[in-house]
Amino acid sequence: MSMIDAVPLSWVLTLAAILFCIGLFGVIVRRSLIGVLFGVELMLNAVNINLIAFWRYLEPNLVAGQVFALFIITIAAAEAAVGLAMVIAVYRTRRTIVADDMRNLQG
Amino acid sequence: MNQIGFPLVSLAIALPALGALLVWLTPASQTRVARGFAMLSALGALATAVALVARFDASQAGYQLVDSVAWVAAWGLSYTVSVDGISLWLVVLTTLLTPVSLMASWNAGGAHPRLQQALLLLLAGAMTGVFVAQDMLLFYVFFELTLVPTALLIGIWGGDDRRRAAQTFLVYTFAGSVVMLVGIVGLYQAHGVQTGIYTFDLATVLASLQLGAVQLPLETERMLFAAFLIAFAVKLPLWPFHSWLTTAHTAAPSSGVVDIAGMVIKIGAYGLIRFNVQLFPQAAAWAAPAIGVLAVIGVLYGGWIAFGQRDMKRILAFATVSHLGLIVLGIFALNPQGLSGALLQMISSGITTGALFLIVGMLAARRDSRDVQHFGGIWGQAPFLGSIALVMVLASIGLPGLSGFIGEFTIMLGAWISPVLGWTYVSIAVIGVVLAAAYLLRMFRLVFMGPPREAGAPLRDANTLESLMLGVLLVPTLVIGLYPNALLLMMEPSVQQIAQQIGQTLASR
Amino acid sequence: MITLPVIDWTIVAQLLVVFGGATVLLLLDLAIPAGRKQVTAYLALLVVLGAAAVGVMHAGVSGATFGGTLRLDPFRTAVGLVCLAAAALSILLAVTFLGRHQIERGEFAVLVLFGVGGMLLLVQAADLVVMFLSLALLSITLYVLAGFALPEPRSEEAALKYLLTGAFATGFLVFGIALIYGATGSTTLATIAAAGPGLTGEYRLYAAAGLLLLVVGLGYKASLVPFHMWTPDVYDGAPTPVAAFMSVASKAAVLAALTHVLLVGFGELRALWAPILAVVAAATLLVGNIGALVQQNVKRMLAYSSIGQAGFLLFGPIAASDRGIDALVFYLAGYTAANLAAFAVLIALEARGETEWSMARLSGLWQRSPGLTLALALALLSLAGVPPTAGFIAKFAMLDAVWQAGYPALVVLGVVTSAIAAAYYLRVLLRAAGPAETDAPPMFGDWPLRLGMALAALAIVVLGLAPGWLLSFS
Repeated sequence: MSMIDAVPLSWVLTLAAILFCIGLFGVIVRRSLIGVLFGVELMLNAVNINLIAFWRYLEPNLVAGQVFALFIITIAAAEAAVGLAMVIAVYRTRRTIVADDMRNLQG
Repeated sequence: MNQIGFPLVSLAIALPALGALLVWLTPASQTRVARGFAMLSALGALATAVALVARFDASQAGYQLVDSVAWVAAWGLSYTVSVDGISLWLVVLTTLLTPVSLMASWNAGGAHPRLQQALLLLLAGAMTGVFVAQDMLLFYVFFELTLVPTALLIGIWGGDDRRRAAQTFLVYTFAGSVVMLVGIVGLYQAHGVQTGIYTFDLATVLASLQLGAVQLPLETERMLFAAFLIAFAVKLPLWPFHSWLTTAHTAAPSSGVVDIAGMVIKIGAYGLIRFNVQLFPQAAAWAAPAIGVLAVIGVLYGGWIAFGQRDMKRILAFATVSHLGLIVLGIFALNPQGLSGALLQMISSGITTGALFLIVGMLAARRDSRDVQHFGGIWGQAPFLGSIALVMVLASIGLPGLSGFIGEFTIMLGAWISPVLGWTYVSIAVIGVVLAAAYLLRMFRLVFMGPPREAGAPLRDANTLESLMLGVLLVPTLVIGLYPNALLLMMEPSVQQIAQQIGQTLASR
Repeated sequence: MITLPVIDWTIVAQLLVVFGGATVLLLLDLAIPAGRKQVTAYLALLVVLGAAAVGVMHAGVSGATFGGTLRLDPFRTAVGLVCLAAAALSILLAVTFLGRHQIERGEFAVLVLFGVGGMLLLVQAADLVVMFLSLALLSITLYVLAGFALPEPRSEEAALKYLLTGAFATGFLVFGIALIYGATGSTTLATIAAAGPGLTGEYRLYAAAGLLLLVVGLGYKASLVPFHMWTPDVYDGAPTPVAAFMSVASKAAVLAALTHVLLVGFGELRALWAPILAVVAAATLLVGNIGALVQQNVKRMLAYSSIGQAGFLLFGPIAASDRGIDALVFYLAGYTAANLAAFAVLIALEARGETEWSMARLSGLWQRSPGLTLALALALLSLAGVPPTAGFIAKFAMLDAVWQAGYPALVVLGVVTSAIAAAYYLRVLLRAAGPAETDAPPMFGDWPLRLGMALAALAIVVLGLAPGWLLSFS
């Protein structure tokens, strides 16, 4: 019995949605900037699961889903690189990476 | 191009604008050159307006001397200007008041004289544009263009409260006029959808509405009417939208420069005739009783408040509110008498109130106060100012033989015989006229009559420039009073045509 | 087996110029000594002008390449030109600003080039994956640009806020794209449109949910309410030329992409998205304009006002007609000119170390510099929509288009919020015309800044007086 028969698509999609929501929750409640970036990564990876699932279950002959997932991984890496660089810059000037400590601009 | 092959109407707009540019480009040290350019362009515009009167065919009702150039062809938007019996005299009035306001600006002195003259000329060009625009969107463009120079004139040269006043002025009138944009879009789209011709040309739209090519549902017509009404009621201002006007007049420079140039010319009233009454007769007849009530309230309220004031400019500002009420009453009588009376009154009150604002400015400059109690008994010292003031006050309260009488009388007559208004409106409005006599004569008596006040230094009479300004305004006051037909004849066909259309619409109801 | 698609080089020529130029310049910059980084900026300007020349030659060209993932048509060319014009003017405004603020580094111009390349790609994209890529490209460059004044804490903070909200929005965007892909089996807009009517049951639901998430993602970038919270902070903290660039160019590109997604990909679901978008437009207009009304900080005011302008921009896709598209292009062009002119005036008055851009600093400007006041006046009048500026024609075109599309309520709301907007724009103007309230701030009037300001002001007037040629291209 292949995986496709054992696990319905909706289960995989639900898992992805749950992961996405966990990431979303993390972005919103985390006070550490690193934590927020983690949350974003989680959201993006939830999407990757979605894409791979759609590809595998619905369009196994087309590469679009896989390619898109690869793109997302690349972009996520780039975003994380810039984000972490900024966090480091912030840490150097302020000795803190807690989001609430930054209030030079009135929210 | 038009039938005479020369863009005469456009010239009346372009000359002041060109003058403004020249004044702006003149070096700051060359005051006399700048003044020369300013006056030359203003007089040129006046000469153009006189030429318009000469060229005008008084036997025709429609738009004449049309200049037209496509602007955005894809939209049916064009630069089209023309005159008809309704706009002709308003153009003359505008161009006549421009040189006077320039002279007032010279007389008052003050900072940045070049900028002031340039703004006055821009304002004159924009107002002329409002009266001659035959394209709805072009009308709106000119209508808005009058705002910025006026606000800057108040905001830069005004009295103590100038910034707030300029801001109030801008916010009120801009908010009012953008509502008109909804009306224009609605009418344009309705015309486009129903006839397939997208155009802003008033003549075309009017013809389509009259011939039934465009049928507006009752609700739509009333909504569009309301959109235009709000814009013009704020601009007029009709009671209860008057608060910007009194603030603006009070904060405007004492010299009367702005008062005469900006406020006395009644763009709002013109818009009511041109759009509300002419385009939407059915809605106008429907709304006339309610608007009449507001107008009568304005007449009484303005008069009542003016009576209690001590600041001469506030007295005149509230007098303006009162006059405007009467003009609106005339317009919404929806008959030839009411309309021509309103037009005459617009011109007459523009001249007389303007002259009074100037005299107040001159007095205020001499004694550094606008409070009537700081004056008294100055007739002996300034008999020329006094006598002109008396004539203008009498003209303003409607003494027969002067310009105000014929306008007021015709409005009353029109409202009395109007099927939509009637004698009750007139009999209440008459109280306002009596009040006008009371507060204006009271002001005159307190300022010029009685024993001279000990505290005040001797007061100089009008100098040559001041005499010239007032003299220029005195002539039309007398001419209109003695021979109103000179104006009425040229208005007649246009006014008759509007009234006839309204009559047909009302009859077919 | 993957076959390489046939590439139509004329269509990608513009992108090649920008990305090629940017890459070469990045290397070239290494050889330019530290004190002379202005050279890099001028070279970048040349690249932008070259790309714009290609864009002008593209007038009237339509076509697709890379298997239909990139497309060119008059609308795309026009929006691309708006983005390039914004980039060119921003570089002009920034050239001397950077030196003055001691943040003159060669990467600036290169980043602007990559950013504008991302925008062009986003405008020309006809495929959701390309859209995602180009959006990421332009976003990441803008994050860095926002933090360009590092270690200035406000700039740092702006960059970080922008990055976190932007990455968050990217999450929504890709989730939306994934759902659409799942529902339709494709990421190309044309294929999505073709698959749309056949969708049933849960797949239709996936597509609708995906579209909404996609709109949320794009809405963040275009600062539509309720995804606008980052805008005032980022504009306030970012270096002023960067704020100017972001406020116009990325908005133009994102609005074009949104229009393509909605009209090309999901035209069939118009009954679903048009009312939602109308509500978003209404909220954006109200929040932006009311927010701007209470600001005392000019940069924040311009940020809120740009939110309000975004509300008007949405009228284009809502109208979903030729008139709406024409109006959108015209509005973008007029808004770009006006907003850049307004920011140019701020740049001319901003010395190093200024943190709060209080309105009082503009007071008395008229006495000190009539030229700057004139530019400011044109900019603010155009933003307020007062004739005879470009802004008036633009607003009218939008109002006309949504009225025709059957949304008179939006017309009324647009007009009401315009009146509110006029109040705060003209308040600034009156203060500039009034007497000075504070010590006169220094004024800078070097030629690139003057040139940029003059070009923007000229565009406002020319578009206002002779709008016909830009209004009837589609």
